[in-house]
Amino acid sequence: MFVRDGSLSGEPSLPHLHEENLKFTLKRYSALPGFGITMGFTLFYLSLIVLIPLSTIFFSAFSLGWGHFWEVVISPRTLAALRLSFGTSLVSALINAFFGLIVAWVLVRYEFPGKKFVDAFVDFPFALPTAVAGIALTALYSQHGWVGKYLYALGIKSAYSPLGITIALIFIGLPFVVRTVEPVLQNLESEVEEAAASLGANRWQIFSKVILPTITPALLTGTAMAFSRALGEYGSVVFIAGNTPMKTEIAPLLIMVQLEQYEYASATAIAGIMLVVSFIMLLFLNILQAWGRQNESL
Amino acid sequence: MSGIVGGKLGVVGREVRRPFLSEPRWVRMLLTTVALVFLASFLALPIAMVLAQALKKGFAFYLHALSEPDALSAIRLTLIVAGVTVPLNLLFGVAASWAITKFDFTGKKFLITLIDLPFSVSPVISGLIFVLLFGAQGRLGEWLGDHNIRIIFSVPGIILATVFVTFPFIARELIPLMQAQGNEEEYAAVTLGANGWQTFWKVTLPNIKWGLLYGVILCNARAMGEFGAVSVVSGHIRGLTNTIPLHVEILYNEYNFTAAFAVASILMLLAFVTLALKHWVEWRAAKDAASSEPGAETP
Amino acid sequence: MSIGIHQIVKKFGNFSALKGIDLNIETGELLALLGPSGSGKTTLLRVIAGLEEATSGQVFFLGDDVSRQKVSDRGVGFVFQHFALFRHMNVLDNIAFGLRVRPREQRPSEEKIKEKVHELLKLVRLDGLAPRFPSQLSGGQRQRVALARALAIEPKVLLLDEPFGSLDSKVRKELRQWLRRLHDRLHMTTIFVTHDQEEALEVADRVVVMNEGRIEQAGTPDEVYHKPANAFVYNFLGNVNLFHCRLEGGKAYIANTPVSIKVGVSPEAQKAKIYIRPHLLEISRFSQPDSFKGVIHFLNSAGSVAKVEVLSEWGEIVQVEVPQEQFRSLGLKKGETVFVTLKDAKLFHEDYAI
Repeated sequence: MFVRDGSLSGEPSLPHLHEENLKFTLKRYSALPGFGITMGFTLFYLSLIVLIPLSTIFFSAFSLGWGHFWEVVISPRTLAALRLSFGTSLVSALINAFFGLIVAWVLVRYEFPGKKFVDAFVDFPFALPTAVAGIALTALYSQHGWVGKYLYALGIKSAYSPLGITIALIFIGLPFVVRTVEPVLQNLESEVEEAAASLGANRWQIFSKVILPTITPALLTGTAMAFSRALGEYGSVVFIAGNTPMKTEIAPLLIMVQLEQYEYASATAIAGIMLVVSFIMLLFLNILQAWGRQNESL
Repeated sequence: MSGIVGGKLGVVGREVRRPFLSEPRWVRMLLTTVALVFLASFLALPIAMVLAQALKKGFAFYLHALSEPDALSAIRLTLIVAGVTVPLNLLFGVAASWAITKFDFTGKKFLITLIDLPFSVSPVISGLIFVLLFGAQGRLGEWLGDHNIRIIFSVPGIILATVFVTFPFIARELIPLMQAQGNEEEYAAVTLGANGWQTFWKVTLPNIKWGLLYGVILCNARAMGEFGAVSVVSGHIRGLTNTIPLHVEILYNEYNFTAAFAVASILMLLAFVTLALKHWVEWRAAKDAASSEPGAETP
Repeated sequence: MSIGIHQIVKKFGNFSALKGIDLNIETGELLALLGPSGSGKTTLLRVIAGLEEATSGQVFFLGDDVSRQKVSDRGVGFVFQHFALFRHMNVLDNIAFGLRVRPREQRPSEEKIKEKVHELLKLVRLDGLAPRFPSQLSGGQRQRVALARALAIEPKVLLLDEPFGSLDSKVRKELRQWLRRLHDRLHMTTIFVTHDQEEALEVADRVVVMNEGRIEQAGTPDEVYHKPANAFVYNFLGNVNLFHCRLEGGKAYIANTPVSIKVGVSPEAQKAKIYIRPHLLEISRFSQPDSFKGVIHFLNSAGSVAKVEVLSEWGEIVQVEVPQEQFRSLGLKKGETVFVTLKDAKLFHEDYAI
């Protein structure tokens, strides 16, 4: 049923997007003007700024030839950089998942003085330019820094090490989990919990059997976003990383290093790999979000 | 994906929970403490660090670091970059959201995904693609070189890279907002004889102004603070192609830490202003939404 | 202004919302498009306004083909189901909108606009509410602002989409009588869409009953109610009882009860359906010609008529409406055996699908 008069359901009677409508025409008639010019500009600008520049990566990577491309990818330095990037991104995303959930929980459910202020500040890593985050964290965690001096005294090398990279990635990924889980927790109806309580469940059972399954899609989405962001991050990591090849050199930095040495082919090959991973993450995120919406609409 | 997870526009009041639906007091205390310690060590400490380092050598040195010519030219370039980037992406955001929300066409979801694409690309790669496209090693770069047009290691390259990384900000703020508002008011306007411009200016724009401003604020913050992408295309030419974040990096790498943190403190101020504006806009939008709800009837 | 609708077809992909509509609307007529959800009535209204483009067919205003004319040039007053008031404008600005967006040379002076708005506010009985915002108005008030806004551009035709659909039932009743009186004053060609048969029959000069993209019947309220063209119309305009029967020798038989039929179908039809409204059935305590036997199953005497459900001898529930007076004099009780007589039944072919 496509056109509903909507009189009974009370919905607006304008037929919305229906896949079947689109089989014959690319665009449905609308009484509103401006489709040509806005769509034209959108496609033009999108192609100019995003699609054409991005496609150069793939053209350049193809022109390398499979042999050369593969040679760059399996070189020990590239593999070490990719391993480091994936490893630190994953660890930082998991840490953010754990603490992010607690932060979101506390911000939604408990009252304490200054809560609104704290809530507002969760977005700080989004607003702070990454270079500033990078130098501030380096100063904090290096040998003579406020935190670093205690850690170094314990024999923990908290800067210029994978740990330092992980710390920077936790910082920049912090808001993702909090901001995706928060609205879902907020919209959770207390009726569902009341029902569970009336059926004899205790607090922990209510959390693990009722609340957690509801917020799982959002939690996964936030974690995947933090991971994806961490994988490509450069500014906040480059200062604290140490940047020693094979040890503390992340993939984005390796691209940068190759570029500075005019090794365009190598830079392109690594970038190509990273882009493919990004697209896979994007696809995964779209699936996660579709799952989340389905969960919410139940 | 980098950038900000969906706006909080329209999130309203929280309900008070029944005591039996909450945790024991010690659990609440423990969780609150964990959350606050975590946030303090990752948010408050870096802020304090920037301020402490910036003012380490006194206020006079601080002012000097901000007023030296290279710093001033970096500030000027950053303002120029944001001044070009934000209006361009604003125009795009409005056009794209009009095309997407006012019409039904094939491939709409795909188009939205394409618009979001720059968020999932590493900043370094965002710069790299423009080097590959316009750099001296490519055919286009050769041609540009022959005609004395510089894009890479020059201001146009910096602007292009910045436009790329901030590309989705305004569109992704407007599209869900306009989708939620529907098209009935626009239809009413055209039946009353309004043309496209009149419909947009008099009916659509007043309804989306807070979302628009929200997007502009986020877009501007990222445009001014972008480091990775700009770093790749700028060539780090002091006084010419250095934006504020790049200037911070140069000072830091020269072990001129105090000056680096002094300049960084401007960017931190930008972050504070951004957060404050963002929350002000959220508050205003929530207020408007509450007052235009049918429930707000007065007898 | 007269409106001609010629062979309008509207398809959404594979789905045909309108399957060739022909209709003429006279100048000054108040017409109701009545039908269930999905009957195409709103689509037809939007095609007339130009909010939808017909797949084929033409719309004529005063004999001129306006099918390709933009909605903003058609000069129709359209009142939306949910009013679509501009949220950020007060009542005055809402009503003045259509005048203010005119090209400069046709635009009245601001003074004239204000004067006109106040005149309209008086007409819709909202004087004094000009500075209010839509959020500060009740549903009925919003409805009248939407109407005033549509009237401000002095439309040649007024189109209303479910004008009372989102109002509560008491306001609804008041407003529809008011709309009728307003139309009698303005004499503007008016078309409104409704799914409420009572509303259509009470307000309109002529009712067009639609179903599945087709017009089932067009006629005065009296005609469509008393002389329904087919089973759908009869069924849609009020409660009915349905009996399956077989025809034999000029008589209809429900189960084994012979019934005299006034309106016949072609005699060769062996099976037919009998439709009869609850108030056209009569209950008596004694057997009558053309009556069947049943047991009282349910009684409800709250309301203007008493509602009685009778379990017929062939096992179907039959609804009967009995005037209060008669109900009291009969003194009916649950479980009693009664006889039901058909006063005026309609007979339709068995194969007619509803």
